[in-house]
Amino acid sequence: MARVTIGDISLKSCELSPELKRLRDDYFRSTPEICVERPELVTRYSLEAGLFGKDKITILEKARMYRKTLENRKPVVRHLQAFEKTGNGMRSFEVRDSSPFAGSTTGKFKGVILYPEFLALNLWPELWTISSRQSNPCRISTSDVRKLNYDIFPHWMEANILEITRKSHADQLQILQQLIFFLASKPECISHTIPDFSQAVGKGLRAMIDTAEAKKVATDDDRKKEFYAALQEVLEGIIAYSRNLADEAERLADIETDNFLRDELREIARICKKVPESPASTFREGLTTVWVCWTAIHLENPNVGLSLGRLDQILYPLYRADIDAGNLTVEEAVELIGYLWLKIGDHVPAMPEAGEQLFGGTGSNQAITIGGVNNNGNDAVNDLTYVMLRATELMLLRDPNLNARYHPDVHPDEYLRRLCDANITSRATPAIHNDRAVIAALQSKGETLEQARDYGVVGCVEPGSSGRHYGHTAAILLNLTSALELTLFNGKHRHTGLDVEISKKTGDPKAFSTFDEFKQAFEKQTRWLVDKSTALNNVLGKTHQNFYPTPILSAFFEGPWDKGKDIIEGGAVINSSAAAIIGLADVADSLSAIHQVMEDKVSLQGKKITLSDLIDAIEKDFAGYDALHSWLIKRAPKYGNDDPEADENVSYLVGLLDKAYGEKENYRGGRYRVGYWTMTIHAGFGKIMPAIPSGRKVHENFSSGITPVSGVTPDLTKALNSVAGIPTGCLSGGVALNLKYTPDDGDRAAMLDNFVSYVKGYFDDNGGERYGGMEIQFNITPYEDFINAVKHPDDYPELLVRVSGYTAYFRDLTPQMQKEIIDRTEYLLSTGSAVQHPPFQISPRR
Amino acid sequence: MEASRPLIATVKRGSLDDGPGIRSVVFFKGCPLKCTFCQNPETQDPEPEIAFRSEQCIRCGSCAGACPEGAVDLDDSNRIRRDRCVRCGICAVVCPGRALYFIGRYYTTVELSELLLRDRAFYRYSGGGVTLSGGECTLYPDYVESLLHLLKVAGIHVVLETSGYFDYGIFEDKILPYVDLIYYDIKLMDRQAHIKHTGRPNELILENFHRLVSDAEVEVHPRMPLVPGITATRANLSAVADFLYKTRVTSVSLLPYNPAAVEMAPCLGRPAPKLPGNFMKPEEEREIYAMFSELLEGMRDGCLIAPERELKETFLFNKI
Repeated sequence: MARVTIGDISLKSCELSPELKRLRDDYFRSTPEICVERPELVTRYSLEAGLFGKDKITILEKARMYRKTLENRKPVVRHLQAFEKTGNGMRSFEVRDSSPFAGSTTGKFKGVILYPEFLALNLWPELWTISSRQSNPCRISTSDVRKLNYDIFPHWMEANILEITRKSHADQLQILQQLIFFLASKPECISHTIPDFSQAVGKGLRAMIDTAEAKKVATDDDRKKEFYAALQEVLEGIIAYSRNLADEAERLADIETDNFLRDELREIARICKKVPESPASTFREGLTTVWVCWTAIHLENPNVGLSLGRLDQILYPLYRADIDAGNLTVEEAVELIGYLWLKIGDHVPAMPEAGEQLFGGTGSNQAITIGGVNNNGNDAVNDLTYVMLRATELMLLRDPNLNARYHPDVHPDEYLRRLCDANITSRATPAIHNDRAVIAALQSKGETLEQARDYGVVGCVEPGSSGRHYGHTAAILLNLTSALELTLFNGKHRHTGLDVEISKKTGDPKAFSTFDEFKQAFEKQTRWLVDKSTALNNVLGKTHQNFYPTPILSAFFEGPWDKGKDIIEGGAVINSSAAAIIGLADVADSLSAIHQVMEDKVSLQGKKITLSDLIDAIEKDFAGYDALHSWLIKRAPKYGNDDPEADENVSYLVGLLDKAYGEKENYRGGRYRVGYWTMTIHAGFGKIMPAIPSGRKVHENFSSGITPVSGVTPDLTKALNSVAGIPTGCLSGGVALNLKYTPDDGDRAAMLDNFVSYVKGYFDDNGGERYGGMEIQFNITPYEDFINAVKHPDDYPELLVRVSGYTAYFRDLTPQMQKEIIDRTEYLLSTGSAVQHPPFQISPRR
Repeated sequence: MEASRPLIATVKRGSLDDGPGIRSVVFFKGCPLKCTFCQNPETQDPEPEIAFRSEQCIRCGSCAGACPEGAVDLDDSNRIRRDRCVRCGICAVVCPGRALYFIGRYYTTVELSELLLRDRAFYRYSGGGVTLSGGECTLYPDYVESLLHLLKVAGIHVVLETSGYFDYGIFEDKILPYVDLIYYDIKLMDRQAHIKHTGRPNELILENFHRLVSDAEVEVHPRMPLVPGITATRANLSAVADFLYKTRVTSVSLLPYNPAAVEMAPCLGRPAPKLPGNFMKPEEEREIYAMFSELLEGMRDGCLIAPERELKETFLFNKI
């Protein structure tokens, strides 16, 4: 059966309808609004059920609370107003909502969801100022501020994950609060996974409730009985929410005077009455099921990296049937997907001022995965793949974050070419993943071939088997340059002060005589960080197990139904956690420099440079060490030049980290994995870290993801070879390779020829020597546009960029992160050579 | 063995400008011609050289301290007193900023082919390969033969860029069998002018071109570097057009002037040639293209102009 039947896969003839375009305009015009609905309901039912102050909250207690919340949420069928920024504050405007999908994650058009169980209280001191702050302000009404101040936040001061953990493990939290060693995200979320929608779409929630009943009856285990009862509670809650939506749509239809709009509301009512309770039988019903369940999943799981998976696979049968029956056109499908994308972007994370430094500009990073191979290894690209690509190209939204899977041995060139073409049009999306390499990486962690082939992308770039892998891919964000720092300063760190012992002493490096000695010390410091970070993550995981059972997500997962066990307890089929590493290239280049120095290979101004000199130089931020600094930048081996000596240090580091983390078990019985993607925090950590031996000075950005350091890799093929040569098995947590192209205004076909060739060469296995590069993502925007967008941000509200992993609006990023993107090595698509620009200077903004 | 091995000035990877697809370009050192306008003056001398780029210099003095000949003078804007320099390269080894850098490295053909094969995936998908440039690689027929043999075994597409100043018999025997495409420079038609600006007469070049085009099966693509006042004159363009017409080639590329010679010569301690220091303006390029097509028009009944890329205008002659 041919799965691609459309003639022109570009679907260039499909455009947005005026209604959708208008709604999209409203979306870009609107400012996020803090919504208190969720915290208000959750607080109320927690109080009613006496959940505050308990030693442990059971899954059934949580499930009942969620059910009540779902039953009592305001059913939003049509958004009526939103707010926009003006010169002096915010003003409201009317939203012209034409969405075929009812329901919302918050009560607002673009809402900020608050999870007081996690870090929402960080916003407390800022509630009165958040609507007027410089970076990414959010609106909140005075009455809502009062509600949070008096009725909501006070209850959670001792009842959030961080503070609960602090009671028993204050010492372990100390290192986290120094912020320079690693971040642990469990105080904020676990999320980072892909639910399984196939049962909800194919069987409906009523059948799932019946299954739970049968399983409940069949087991003698009380804990399992309780678990299945909890599933029933939350599924009933979701059905109730959908019925409320249907009633609201009926109510609106009754008062609607326009015939067309009234019919549309009646159709929404019909669909919401039917799904997700019953199986979806049309494409639109299927999309509605996914959407309504998605809002419910967000009620429980914070909107951080929660991802939708392979929607083009799950929804394809419904799409095909509708098309074949003549009930749907391709144009209508593009339009429906466009509306769904807008819905998916209807919420943003809560970000306190301090968080803006590290994560400024982030959305919810809801990844969607298209294309790839099916469980038999055959081409899974279908018409819906292209429909989703086209909708993405037309909508140009930060969320969802689109990821395309490409298998070099399976897919035709025209598919890859289309992905590259979409990147040129959209400037930044989709990211492209190499199926061959990713599947091999997952198999190396013990996944079966079928499980590995069914991976979807989570959050930024992390691969996870769809609907069965609870992976918390961002559990730990490790600043690897701190391992180097602790080695260079014998267990101390300049950021926390050289009078404070942080880790164990591994010897004064000035006394080391060989590079191997240095590496042994570095290894010990790295392992110390691995120990600390995994121990803390496990402690936090225990808190989750005791206070934050997850019945809703468990209901949409493969594993818990069979095991009778919450995913937080290890109910999923695959149960890993993962660390993402920041500063890989910077540390690798530092090691290369140290190696050269320790082998007496560096002689400047008639004098041999020693490791003592190098340490003294970084302590002085290279003041008085011009020659050494120049040597480090221009002469020392750099990762990304296809130079075996420099690249070897990268392989050494990923091997060390994979081994050290891989040996650790998490609180759910799974193992740790390691990934190399950094969102915006390579700029955040860079801002606070002192100089390092690579020649990077204080405050300068670190390199992003698995990308070589900016400005030191003039030749594109060399850079791609270096990255593609890293052992794939060590990268199972996913990688982000950022590539910046200057678009040519000339011949698009010629530009695409080059583009496709570079991607294919990077993904190539070199005759079986390697698996090839795992992932690549692009920024394709002229240099001048970036410069102008810094100067005149309001002229570029829609300028989409890839940070390291997710997509963001350039305007929303911190100045430091904007600089990082501007300074990235930029290659001309027409010649393949790097373009030289002077380092960008951050100027104070208005 | 070292003696028969040429120096390689540089290997440029990932080039999109030296033949079809993504390519690696090997710049051989040494050329029988000494064109005043050479874009790669560092490849003319077969011996190693030391170049100095003042903008990279931080005046740390490492070089002066290291030079055993006392040939480095920090007060001299060219840094090296070439009359004392023995090109040992120690100054380049100690220079932290690559302001002083050594040009010329020996590779065995196995080493060089391994380096070139590192990008074979990119060649394969883009229809690219390896381009031999220089300098003049035909100066080293045995080495080139051995290298090309290794590349051909690996199925690599090979482009040769040549000045045409070679012994045809040896070339035909050792190099030609391995080459897929030849970029052949035609510079000046006037013999005296050719001697003046390249150091050699042009008969051999023109003869070899003729023979290649008529005898060889390989595709030969003539190229003409445009140098204002030297090659880009009406008289020379006219003579070139006439010559090409008579040899019955079907196309030629006019390469816009590149002022690299003016920038690079002082770095190598040579006087800068009296040539423009800037690239041609687009309107100047267009003017020359217009003149050239007009000349072709006058010669025969019309020609087709088919720009390959912005930087390279290719004129396709009508097949006769």
